[in-house]
Amino acid sequence: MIVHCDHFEQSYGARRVLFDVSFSVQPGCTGLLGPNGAGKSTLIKSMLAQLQIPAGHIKIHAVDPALDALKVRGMIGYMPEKDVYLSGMNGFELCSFCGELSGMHRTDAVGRAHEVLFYVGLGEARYREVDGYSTGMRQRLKLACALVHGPKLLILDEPTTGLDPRGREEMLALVDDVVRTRGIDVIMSSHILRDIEQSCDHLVVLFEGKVVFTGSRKDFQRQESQMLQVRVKENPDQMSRALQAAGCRIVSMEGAKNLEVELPESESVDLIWKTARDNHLQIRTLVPSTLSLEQAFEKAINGEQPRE
Amino acid sequence: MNQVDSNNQAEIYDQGYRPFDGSLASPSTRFWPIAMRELRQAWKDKWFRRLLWVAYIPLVVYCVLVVISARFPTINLNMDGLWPKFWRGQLFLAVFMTYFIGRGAVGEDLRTGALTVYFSRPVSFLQYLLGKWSAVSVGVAGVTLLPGFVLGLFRYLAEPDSNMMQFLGWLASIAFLSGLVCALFGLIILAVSSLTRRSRMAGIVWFTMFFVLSAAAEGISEATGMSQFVLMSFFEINVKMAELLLEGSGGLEPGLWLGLGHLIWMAAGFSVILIRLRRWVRM
Repeated sequence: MIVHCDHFEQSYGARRVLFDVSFSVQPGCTGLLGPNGAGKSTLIKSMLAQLQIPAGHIKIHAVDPALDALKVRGMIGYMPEKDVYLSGMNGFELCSFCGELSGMHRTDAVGRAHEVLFYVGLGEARYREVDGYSTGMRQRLKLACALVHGPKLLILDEPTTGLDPRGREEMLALVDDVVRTRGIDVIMSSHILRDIEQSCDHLVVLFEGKVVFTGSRKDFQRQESQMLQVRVKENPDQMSRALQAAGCRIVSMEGAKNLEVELPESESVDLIWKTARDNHLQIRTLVPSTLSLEQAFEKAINGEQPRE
Repeated sequence: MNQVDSNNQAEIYDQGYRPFDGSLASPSTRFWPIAMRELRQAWKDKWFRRLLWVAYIPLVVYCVLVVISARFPTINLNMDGLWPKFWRGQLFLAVFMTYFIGRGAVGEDLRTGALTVYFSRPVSFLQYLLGKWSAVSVGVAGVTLLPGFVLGLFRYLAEPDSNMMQFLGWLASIAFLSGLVCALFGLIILAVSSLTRRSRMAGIVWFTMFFVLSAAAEGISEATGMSQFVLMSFFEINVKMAELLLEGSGGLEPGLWLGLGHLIWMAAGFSVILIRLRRWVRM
């Protein structure tokens, strides 16, 4: 288990921001999803021991940040949302300095800085002043700085903020490579659902300081109702009429041969097979209907789908 | 012409990210990269480099005077009060050195949000502060401790009536005074820097404090005849302390007053830093 959060609460003065937050993060890429103000950044700051933990526990690789903050921070590579950099430095200097701050010897930090800057695609621009970097370059530099000391866990706070579509794709491809090829676990905080959908296998969904879902993304998107997607080889109109006669509701017809069908309450999927057989129709695909991440998220934050 | 080797498979090696498996430095030394970064940044300023050269001109002048006085006794050079004069000059240069290294030490981090860079890594608040303070101290020691040692050594070697005990006394005094200046100037400039996000403004405040307080302290203490008023100036208390230690002028009571003045100034500086960075203190 990478991160374990147990009945954790957080507040700024009298204002409570996180309420009884409990979840676990498994290896791989986990999306920390929630609208602005949901408490994502507060949760990340708490993980980094930048905030005191008034109630509950957080453990990162079995280490409590409240007890050993420096050890936890040594294991984490943090890419902040905002453009935080030290003025008057070039990309290489900043990256190697971050390595030294993480405890690396200067020679190691220098070598690693070159490597990670090439890795994130800033090899040619590494001696340019950070002040002159574009938004995309700064995002890449932040990722390089987060990676330079070889962290076990990478926390990315809104990594695609301000990027154009191409830059966004490249950033997500880097994140994907970090997880799949380099074996680093990632927690990616974002309110951009497409980014989460593209990169994350697991989700922790926060809304107004509470966890409304934790688990796999596929589970989050799975419909809990009697919705099915049916694809027939031919005659979708005939299939549609037959299903309606059997008591099903046709929600939509996508394309030429795809039907989205809602079964009656008491019926099972066998009704679809039986209807097809009776009408001499061939079913090519029959799968439970899934929601888009946007739909699932909308449902979750509207309180329709708080589940674990 | 070279032939292309047909057996060469032109293998492409993965030169991208690899896990880091090297050793880490001791956590207690983590302040040093912070200090070195500040010094490197200061070194990029040509005026800082020029100041460093200028800071050694008085040393050369005093060394020449020492040699002339020792070798040519017929030339009547008044060498009384050499140390306090020398120290006052070096202190004046230390004020500029402190300005160059420390004016943006904390304020720039506040402006750019760089504190997140430090405190998302295994760096504690004290290590951060120690790193910033060390940078200023290295600079100040470079224009006080080092020239002081060199002048002491020069006097010991050149003056026929000097002895080893005297020489060691000078060294001890210079080391102590330099330590006081480093502690005091370092904490005050960090406090000033933490009060504003603009390093230029911090510099203006620093020099205003230096000039106004020095003039006020000297003026009021002369007008009233109460030497305790020098405590108003962080510069003047160092000058008086140097006179006390290097020339033996004064006595125990002024020494206690001056020591108290140093403590008050340092406590004030430290308190301001803690208040301004209170959010990060528990790091």
